[in-house]
Amino acid sequence: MWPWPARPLPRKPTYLNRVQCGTVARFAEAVIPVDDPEATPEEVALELDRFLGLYHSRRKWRIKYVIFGLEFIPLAAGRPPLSLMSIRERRRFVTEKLRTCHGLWGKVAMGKQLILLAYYGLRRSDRRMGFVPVGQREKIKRLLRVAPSAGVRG
Amino acid sequence: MDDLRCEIVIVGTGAAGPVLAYYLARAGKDVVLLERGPDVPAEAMKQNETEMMGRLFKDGDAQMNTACDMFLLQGACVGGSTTLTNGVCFHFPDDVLDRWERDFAVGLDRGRVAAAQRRVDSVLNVHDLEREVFNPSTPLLEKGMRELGLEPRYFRKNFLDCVGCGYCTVGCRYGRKMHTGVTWVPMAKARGCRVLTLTEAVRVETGAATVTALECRNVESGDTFRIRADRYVLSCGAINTPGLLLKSGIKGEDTVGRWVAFNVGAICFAEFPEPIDAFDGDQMCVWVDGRPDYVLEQLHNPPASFALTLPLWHKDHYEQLDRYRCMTSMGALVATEPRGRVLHPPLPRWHEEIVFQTSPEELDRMRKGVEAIARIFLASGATRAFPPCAETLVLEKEADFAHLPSRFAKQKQLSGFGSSHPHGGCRMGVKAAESVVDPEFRVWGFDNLFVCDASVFPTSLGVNPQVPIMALADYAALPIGGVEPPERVEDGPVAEARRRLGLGPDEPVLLPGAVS
Repeated sequence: MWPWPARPLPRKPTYLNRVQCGTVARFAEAVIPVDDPEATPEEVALELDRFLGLYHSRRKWRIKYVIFGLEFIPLAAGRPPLSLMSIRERRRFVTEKLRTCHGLWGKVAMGKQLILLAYYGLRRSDRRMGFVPVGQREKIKRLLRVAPSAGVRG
Repeated sequence: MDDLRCEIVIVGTGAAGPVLAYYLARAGKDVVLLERGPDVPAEAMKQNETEMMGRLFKDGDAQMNTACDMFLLQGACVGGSTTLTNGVCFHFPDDVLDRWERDFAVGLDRGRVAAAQRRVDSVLNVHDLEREVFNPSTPLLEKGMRELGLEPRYFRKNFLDCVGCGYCTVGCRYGRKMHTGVTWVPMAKARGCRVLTLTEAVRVETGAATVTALECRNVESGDTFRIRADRYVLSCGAINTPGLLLKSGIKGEDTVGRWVAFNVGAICFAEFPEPIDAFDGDQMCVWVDGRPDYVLEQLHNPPASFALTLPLWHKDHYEQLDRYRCMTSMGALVATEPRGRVLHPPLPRWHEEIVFQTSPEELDRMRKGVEAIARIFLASGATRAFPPCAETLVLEKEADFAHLPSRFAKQKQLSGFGSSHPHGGCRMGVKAAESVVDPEFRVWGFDNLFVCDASVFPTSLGVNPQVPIMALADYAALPIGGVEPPERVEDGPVAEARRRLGLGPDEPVLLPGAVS
């Protein structure tokens, strides 16, 4: 188990524990390197936790293995565990070690995908990206008027 | 739950199982169809990628090969992967069937295959996608293709009045994608087939040369029960079917799980100088046929999937997504040779392992495909292209292309690399030493165990396999169930729409005023 306490979370996680959520949050800070993101690292961690609770899988335990790897793999490079690094150090470590996806680093680099899935899944970045929700698109409104449901004409 | 008894039990509601279930139930047979995942009706589909990836994809979209350098996307819901396709429909490529006959002695009756594909096309309303729902990047890509002397081709889709929301890959919330969950499954149910969802086939129980029962488990309650049938058909797909056989101790002559092939793919991104809003329309409209080397397919994902596959890191990644309105993407699809393997789970109740590495020759074809895409982008007016390389590479000028070969030397150098088209693992053939099922779809050594899905394919197809798999199931109704499919299928939502709109029997239903 992690030898340091978990940070406070807005709500109780369901699949991950609080310490694992803490690692995810610290990794999220390194993967999404902006000072004022649309979601806090803790919200990203909880969104990932929610996602993991949505499905049954015999492979899901691997996610915990990835999180464990994310936390402690810096030790293999002579660095402190991820949660004990400064944000700057964490970002540098992630950039140097995880972006090339080689060997064991590559397996742990899968964590980046999980962070992106959770962060962009929160959809708070949609407006920043210029994405227009389906309900606000004129073309779709028109097509739904002429064909209100499949094979039915309006 | 009590044990069940039926004539035929079919495992899996993906592309094959429901087609077979429909024909057998239509002929009056007592059929049970199993599905491990949930039944998610259209109204419960949300345009929320994270949530739907969790609810509809196997392993929450995170199934990977053993080396963790390749994503393997499969559906885990009623409809299986057909629920998650972009509706792309191809027939069996003739050269693939020629090769199966020449190299594997799998001589499918071409006339019956053609009739099966026609029936499937009719049930699914397969037609040229209406231009009304093309996404706005399509004319740009067409221009780029033409400038390079490439012929733009247009996808045929199994849509019924698609509105072009661009969320195909996380399920159609309008019920307009004619996947098996809205066509063949309800058609089979209406003919008396029993469908059990959230029910996993755990093990095939065998006696001497015969299957005696199928052990099943409710994935929510954990309750186990058995289904006893006269015939057992595995249609769980090219990874799960060999996995189930191996878990059941059925290994053939060390043949089960071997010869797995994929259509592998990777996505290349483009940035244009002005907003093009490629999200406002169908994700896949136009493609280039570069076979046998590759197929190049337009593919524009909604935000989360787009972010997941964009091959940049950190601040570059974050800031590039601020240009989402100016971006689009295309994928290169390459057919691989059958060298992969599904391995026996190392422990009870474990999952199967998938071993696969793309060969240097296949990676070179992938590199050529990506290079062609990047050139299309630049000819279309894009200012930059981002190939799927783990170490960031930006293509802006001719000299940049010289870096591509070294970035495609190994599979692990690629970003967002994967496949949603697995084939093989229970290859069909004429010798037990070289295959798992005989030409009648029967597993060698068993009189009542059959496999009917893409796992029987001796090679990959090089294109989306959903229609060929459905056609194969139509074809298999005779050898497996002794049922000859009718000349024309009059059931299902498309046939009903044709009757309502006064259209002919196989006439495509198009959007009002649409040009197909």
